Amino acid sequence: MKKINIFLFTAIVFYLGFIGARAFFSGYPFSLICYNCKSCDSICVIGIDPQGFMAASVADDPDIYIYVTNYRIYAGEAEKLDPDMIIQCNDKKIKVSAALNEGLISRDTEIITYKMKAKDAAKVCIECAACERVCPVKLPILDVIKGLKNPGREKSL
Amino acid sequence: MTPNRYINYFLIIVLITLVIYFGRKVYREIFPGDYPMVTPTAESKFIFGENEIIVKLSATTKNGNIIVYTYGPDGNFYGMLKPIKDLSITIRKGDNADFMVQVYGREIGETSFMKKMDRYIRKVGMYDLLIEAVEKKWNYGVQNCLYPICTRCTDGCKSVVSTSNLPLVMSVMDNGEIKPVFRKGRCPRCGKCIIWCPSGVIQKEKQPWEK
Repeated sequence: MKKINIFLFTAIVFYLGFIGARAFFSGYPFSLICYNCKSCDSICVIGIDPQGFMAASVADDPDIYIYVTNYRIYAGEAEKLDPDMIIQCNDKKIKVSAALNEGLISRDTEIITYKMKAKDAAKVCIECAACERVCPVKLPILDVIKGLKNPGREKSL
Repeated sequence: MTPNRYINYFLIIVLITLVIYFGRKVYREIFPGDYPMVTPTAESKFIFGENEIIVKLSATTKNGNIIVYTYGPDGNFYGMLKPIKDLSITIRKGDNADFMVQVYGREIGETSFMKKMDRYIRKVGMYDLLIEAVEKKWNYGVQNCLYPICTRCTDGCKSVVSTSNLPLVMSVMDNGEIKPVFRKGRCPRCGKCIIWCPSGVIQKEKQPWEK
């Protein structure tokens, strides 16, 4: 039993250490303190869940899918951005490429998004900073968004 | 008076002059920036169809989105954020307003957003409202400023100017648009609104020689 406990404890320590290390490598270690309170989610007019940006920072992966539930975009542009982007079509959540292949929409149809990659969500973000304003721990979310938008840019002081 | 005395006086005067010359503070303006300027919205032409309204624009915006607005029967400002494609916007039946702003003359009251996360709290059809606006001659149009979705300019101004009487206020124009208005005398020319404005509506005022 003792050996199992030691093994589990070590595994947990390694897992948490791995998450912490990833967050540090992403350059935004503060994203670890986001506790997903959803204050920012309800304020974003274009329906972005900014917690997703924090998750992308923690995972150091800009390709994770995050909720963007109220962004209007033309299907052709959405397909160009990411064919696997999930859109809302006739009350169904479907990939944009699938919707185009099934003939549900044309490339000139204006659609509403549902989920897209964090890096694409950063591109469509209008940078109004409403999420930053309501964040209870004052996380510099806009910095993360700008970082995702232009990878490799110098961070603002 | 001996010549030595004159020399001493002369040296003292030269010394004082040198101290004043090298010891003086270099004059610097506290805010050496330029005044901000609000760029006008692109010209628009509304073409009303059976099931859709097409808006032709003379220019696009920095982020490819623009607000289509109309006034409602309650006298409030309703708007939605629309993407621009080939200098045109299409408003179809079923497109709902994203927000509503209470308007009192040129003053702005409370703002409410119609959509929270992925569901509408209140549905206001923009197509029907625009048709009604044309019939009843209410103001409608497009605006490049993303207010009330974005309030970066006023936030930036508040972070610099400590008084409640800000040099930058949002005001309703004659055509119903809501735009930032500056009071030049009070503006410290810090440039924060210019840097923070994501839609590029607020820009550095061009000097006569730059025009």
